Amino acid sequence: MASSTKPRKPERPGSATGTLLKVFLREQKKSPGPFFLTLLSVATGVAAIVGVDITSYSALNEFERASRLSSGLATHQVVGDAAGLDESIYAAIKLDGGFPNAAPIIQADVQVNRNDRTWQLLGIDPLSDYRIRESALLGGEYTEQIETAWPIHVPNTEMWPMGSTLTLRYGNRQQQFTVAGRIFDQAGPSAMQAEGFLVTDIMWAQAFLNRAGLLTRIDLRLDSEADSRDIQMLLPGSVRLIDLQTRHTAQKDMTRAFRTNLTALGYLTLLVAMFLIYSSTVFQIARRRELLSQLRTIGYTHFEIARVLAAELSIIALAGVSTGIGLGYLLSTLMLGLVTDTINILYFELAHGTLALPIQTILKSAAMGFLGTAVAGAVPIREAGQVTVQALAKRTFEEGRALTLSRKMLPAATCCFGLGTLILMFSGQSLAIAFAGLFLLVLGPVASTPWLIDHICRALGPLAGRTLGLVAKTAVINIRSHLSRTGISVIALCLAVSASLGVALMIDSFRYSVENWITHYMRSDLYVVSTVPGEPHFSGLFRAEMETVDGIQGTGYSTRISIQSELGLHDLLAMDIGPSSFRGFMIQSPPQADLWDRFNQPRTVLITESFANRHDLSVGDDIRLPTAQGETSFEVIGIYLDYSSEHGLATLSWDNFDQYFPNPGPTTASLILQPGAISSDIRQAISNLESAPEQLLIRSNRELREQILNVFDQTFEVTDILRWLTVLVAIAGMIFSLVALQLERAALNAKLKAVGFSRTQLALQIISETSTTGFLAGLIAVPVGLTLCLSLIEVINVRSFGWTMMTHIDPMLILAAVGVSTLSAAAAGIYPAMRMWRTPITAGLRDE
Amino acid sequence: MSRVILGVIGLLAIGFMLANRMDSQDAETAPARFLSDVLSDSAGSQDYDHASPDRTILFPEDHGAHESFRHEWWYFTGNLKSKEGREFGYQLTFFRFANASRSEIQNAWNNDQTWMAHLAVSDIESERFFFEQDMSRQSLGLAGAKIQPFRVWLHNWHATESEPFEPDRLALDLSAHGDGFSIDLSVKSETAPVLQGENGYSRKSHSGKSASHYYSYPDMETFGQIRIDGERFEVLGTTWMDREWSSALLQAGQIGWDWFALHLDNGKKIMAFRIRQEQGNAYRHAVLIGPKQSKIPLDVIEMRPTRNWTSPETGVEYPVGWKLGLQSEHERIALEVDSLMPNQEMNLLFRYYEGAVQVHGRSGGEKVTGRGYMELTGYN
Repeated sequence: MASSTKPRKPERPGSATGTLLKVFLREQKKSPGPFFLTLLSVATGVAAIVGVDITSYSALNEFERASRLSSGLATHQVVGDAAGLDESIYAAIKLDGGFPNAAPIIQADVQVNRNDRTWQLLGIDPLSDYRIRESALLGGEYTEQIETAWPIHVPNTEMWPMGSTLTLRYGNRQQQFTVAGRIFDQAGPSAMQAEGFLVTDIMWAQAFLNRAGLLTRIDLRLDSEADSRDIQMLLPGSVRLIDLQTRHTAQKDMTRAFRTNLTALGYLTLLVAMFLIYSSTVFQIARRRELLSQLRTIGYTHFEIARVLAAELSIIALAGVSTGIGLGYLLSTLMLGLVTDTINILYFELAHGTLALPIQTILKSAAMGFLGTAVAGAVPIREAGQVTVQALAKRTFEEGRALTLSRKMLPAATCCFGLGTLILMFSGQSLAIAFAGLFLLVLGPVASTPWLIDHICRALGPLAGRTLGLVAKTAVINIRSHLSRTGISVIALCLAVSASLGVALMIDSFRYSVENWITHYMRSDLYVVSTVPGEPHFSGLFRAEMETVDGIQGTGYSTRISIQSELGLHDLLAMDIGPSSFRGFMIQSPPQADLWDRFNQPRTVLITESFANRHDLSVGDDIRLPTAQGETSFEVIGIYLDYSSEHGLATLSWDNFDQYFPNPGPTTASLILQPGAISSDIRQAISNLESAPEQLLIRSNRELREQILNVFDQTFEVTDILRWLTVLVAIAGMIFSLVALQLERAALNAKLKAVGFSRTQLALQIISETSTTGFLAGLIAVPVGLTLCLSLIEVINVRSFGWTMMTHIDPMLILAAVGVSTLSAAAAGIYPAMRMWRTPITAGLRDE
Repeated sequence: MSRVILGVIGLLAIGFMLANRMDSQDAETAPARFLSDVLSDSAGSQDYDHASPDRTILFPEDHGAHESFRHEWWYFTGNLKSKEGREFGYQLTFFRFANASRSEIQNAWNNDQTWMAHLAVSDIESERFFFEQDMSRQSLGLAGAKIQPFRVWLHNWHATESEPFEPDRLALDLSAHGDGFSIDLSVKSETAPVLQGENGYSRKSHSGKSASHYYSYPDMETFGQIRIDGERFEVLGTTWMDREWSSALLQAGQIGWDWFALHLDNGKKIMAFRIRQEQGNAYRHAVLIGPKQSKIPLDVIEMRPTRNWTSPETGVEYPVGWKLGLQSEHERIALEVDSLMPNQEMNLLFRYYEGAVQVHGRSGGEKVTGRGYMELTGYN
C-alpha cells in the first residue's frame, strides 16, 4: 500500500551505470595505454606483498616440512650434551616411565662416496620408530633380499639402485652399505633427498659411528603437561627435555625480524603504488574531461558519473589484483632462493623448498589491492563527480591542489611526523608497531614535499630568471603551477627515494660496522678448520705438530657448540687464546683492566651485545648453563660486539669449557705468522702434516673476510630487489602525472609556440621542469632518508637483531639518491616532451 | 595350543623389518610372501632346536624363555564380569622371536631376540573393542623373560609371579596399558598345568613333521581391574593361559588356523583347533579337560563355520559362528560357538581375529552353555 502512494522516480531506458560503463570502456579501448598502466600499478603493489608473503610462507613451510621429516610426530625430544645421550635413559623412559611413544635416534652428518654433499644418517629402531615417524620415513620400495648386512635406505633409487653399494664416511671411519630400500615423505623422494636423509637400523648406525651405548636423542610423542613432568623426573641433571613446539616457535621467531623487515618493504611498495593509482585515476579523469562534461550536460548526475568511474576502477582493480598475484608469484620465484640462502646462513639449515600459494596470501593481497585502489581512487573520483559542468569543461582541473598544497598540509605533516616518532619511541618490543611508526614518521615530511617545493620555487623563481634566463624562469613558474597535478607523484617519488636512501644508508652503516668488527676481531693471518664430516675436532697431536711448523708465531683455538639453556637455544664459544687476541673483543660494557684475568677465572662468561639485549642481561648478572655437572651459574663479566650470531653467543675460556663441558678438542685454529713468513708455504706444510685431518680448509684473513662480507651482501639482495621495485613504481607514477599534465598544457604550449617559443625550447623547458622537480624531491628525500636510516639503526635493528652499529653516512649514496630522483623525473619528462613536439599548434588552440 | 600362523608371520616380518624393512603400511601383503618363503626347512629353522617327544617339560624352568627355539609365547585370554554383571573379554600375549644374528657388531641393539606383545579388551555390553601392540628387541632389558621369580615383560607390560613357585600352583599379576584402556589382573591356578599332546609335545600336522612344546593353565581364577576411558571396572572371571615354543610349526600348504578354548558350565574345558590346508583336509585336534586337569582325547567329527562377519575396517570376512561336533569314548559333544560381539579383529601389524565367545549345546546328553575364546588366522 505504502509503495503505491509514493511517486515513482522516472527511469531512463536501460541501466544508466551499465550504459555509461560501456561508453567509458569503449573509450579505454581506443587508447588502452593508461588503462594498462593503472592496472599495472595496482598489480605492482599487490605483487610486492604477494611476493614477500609467498617467499616468507614458503620458507617457513620448508622449515616445518624439514622439522616434520626429521622429528615426525614427536612433540618432545630428550637430548644430552655434545657427547650424546646414554641409551639407558631410553630404557628408563620405556620401562619405568611406561611411555610407549618414544623412539631412540642416532643422527650424524656423513659423506657418501666422497661426494661433497653432506647427508644426515638417521639410525632408528624400526620397532619403536613407527610410533613417531609413521608417515615420514616409512614406506617405499624394498629389495627382495632379506638378509643384508649394513643395509641402508635412501631417498632416490635412480641415483642409487636397489642392491647397489655406497660408502659412507664419518670422520676417519668409512663403511660400505647396501641400498636395501627407499624412504620418502608424502612430498616424494625428492623431498627426502633435498633434506639429505639416509636411514639405517640403530645397530648399524651405532657401529658405524662408533657410538655404542649412546644416542643422539630420544623422540617422544607426549599427550600432556603431566607426561612431560613425569619424563623430567626420569632424567639425570645433564639431560634435558625439549618441547619441540616451543623450539620450533623459537626458531621461527629467529626469522621473524628478518621477515617483518621484508614485509615492511612490501607494504612500502604498495603505499607508493597507491600514489600511482591516485595519479593514474586523476589522469583517466583528466583525459576524459570533455566526455564527462558532455555527460553532465545531457543530464547525468555527478553521483552516476562517480559510480561509473568507481565501477571502472573496480574492473581495473580486479584485473590488477589478479595480475599482481601472478606477478607476485613470479617475484617470489626470484626471491625464495635468496631468502632461503639467507635463512640458511643466518638461522638454520633449510633446503630450497617449493613455492606455495596459500589462500590467506591471496585473500590478504586481494583485500589490500582493492582497499589501496579504493582509498587512492576515492578522492579524485569524488571530486570529478562534484565539479560543475563549467569546471569540467575547463582544462585546468585542480582537484589535487587542495590536497597537496593546502596550508593545513604543514601542520598535518608535522603531526604525522610527531605521531610517528612517538609510536616509534614507545612501541615496546613490537616490530610491526615500530614499522607503523616509521611509516608515519617518513610520510609526514614526504607529504609536505609539494608544499615545500612550492615555497622553494617561490623563493627561487626570480633568481632563476635572472641567472638562467627565460626558459628556467618559466620552468620554475610552471613547477609551482603544475604541483597541483604533479604533487602526488612528487610525494611518491620522494617517498620511494627517501626509503631507498634510508635503507641503503642503514645497510652501508651495517656493512661498515661489520668490516670494522672483522678488522678488530680477526687478528690472525690464517684460519684452519677440518671439513671431515663428523670429525670437526683437532687431535692433540695435530695441534702439537701444527705449532711446530716454521713461520708460525702464535696459535689460538676455539670451538663452538649449540646448547639449550634456560635462555633457549644458543651458541657457546670456547676460546683458547692469548691476551693479544683477547684484545680483539670489542667490549661494549664499561672497561675493566682485569677483564682478561677474570675471563680465565672459573665460571665467567662474556656475552655478545645481541645476547645481552635479547635476554636483558648486564655485567654482573648470572646465567645458568647446562654443564656436565648439571646446571651451573656463570657470571657475565663483559658484553662485546659481535655480528656472527643474531640470536647471541656466550663465550668462555678454554679452561672453563674443559671443566664444565665435554671437550673433544678445538674445531678452529687461528694462526699468527711471523713477519716475512710465506702464507702459501705454511698452508702446504700444515696440510702435509701426518696428523692433519683428511680434509682441511685453510683460509687467509683476507679470504675469510671476503667470505663474511659476501654473506652479508647476499643477505641484503632481497632488500635490494624490493627497494628498486619501489623506485620503479614511483618513476611510473611520475610519468603518469606528467602525461596527464601534458594533456592540460596542450593549449598553453600552443600559445607559447605561437608567441615564438621553439619546440626545442619547450621540450627543454618540460624536461628541466621535471628534472628540477625530481631534484627538489631528491633534496627533500635526503633529510628524510637520514632520519629513516637513524631510526632503522637505533630502533628497528636493535629491536630486530639486538645489534647496535656505527652510523656511517656515505656522501656518494646521498648524491646517488638525488641523482636517481633527478634523472628519473627527467626521464619521466621525455615522453610528455615528445608528445608536445608532435602536437601541432592548431590542435592545442582548438579548445581556446 | 599354538597360534602357529600368527607366530610365524610375526617372526618373519619382524626379522625382515630388522634386516632391512621399515614398512608398516605394507604389512597386509606380507603374510603370503612369508608363508610360502619360510614354512619349509630351508627358511633357517635348522639353526634352532626342534620340538621332540623325548623332551620332558620341567617347572619352573619351562616357564622361562627358550632362546634356542625359534619362537615362543605366553598367551592369556579370559572371560570376565564386573560386579554389576557387565561382561568383558581380554587378551594379553607376549611373543618372542629369535633372529639369526647377522654380524659381529658389539652393541646392545645387535640382539637376536625380538619381542612383541598384544593387548585387547572386549567390552561386550557396548560392543567396543580396544587393542594395541608393542614391540622391542631384547636390548637394554627392554623385554625378556626370567624364571625365578617368573616374569615376562615388554616395556612396562608384564606378567609377574605374585606367589612363590610350587609345582601345582601358578599365581601371576598381569599388567598392561594401552591408549585409553588397561588391565591390572591377578590370575591364579591351584592345579598343575595341562601338558598338551604327548606330555607337552604337540603335533601340528598329519605327518607329524611340525610340532611344538605346549602346556596350558586352562582355568586360572582371575580378579582385578579393567580401565576403559577413565572408567574403572572391578572384575572377576577365568583366564586360560597357553605356553608354547617351537622352531618348525607349519608345513608347506598350511594356510591358517581356527582355535577354540572353551569353559563349559559343567566344569569341563575344551581345546580344539584345525590347521587349514591350501589343498586337502585340515589337520584337526581336540581335547576335553575334566576335573583335576584330566585329559580326554576327542575326535573331531564336525568343525564348520555357520556365520560370517565382514570387518568394516579391513573388508576381511571371518567365520565368527561355528558348529563343533566332538566325540570321546564316553560322550558326544555338540556345540554352537558364537562371538559375543562381532568386531574383535586385531587389525595390527599382523591381522587376526581373537574374540570372546559364547557356547550352547549338549554334552553327554545334557544341555551346556559356556564362555571362551576363539582365534582365527590366515583370512584375507
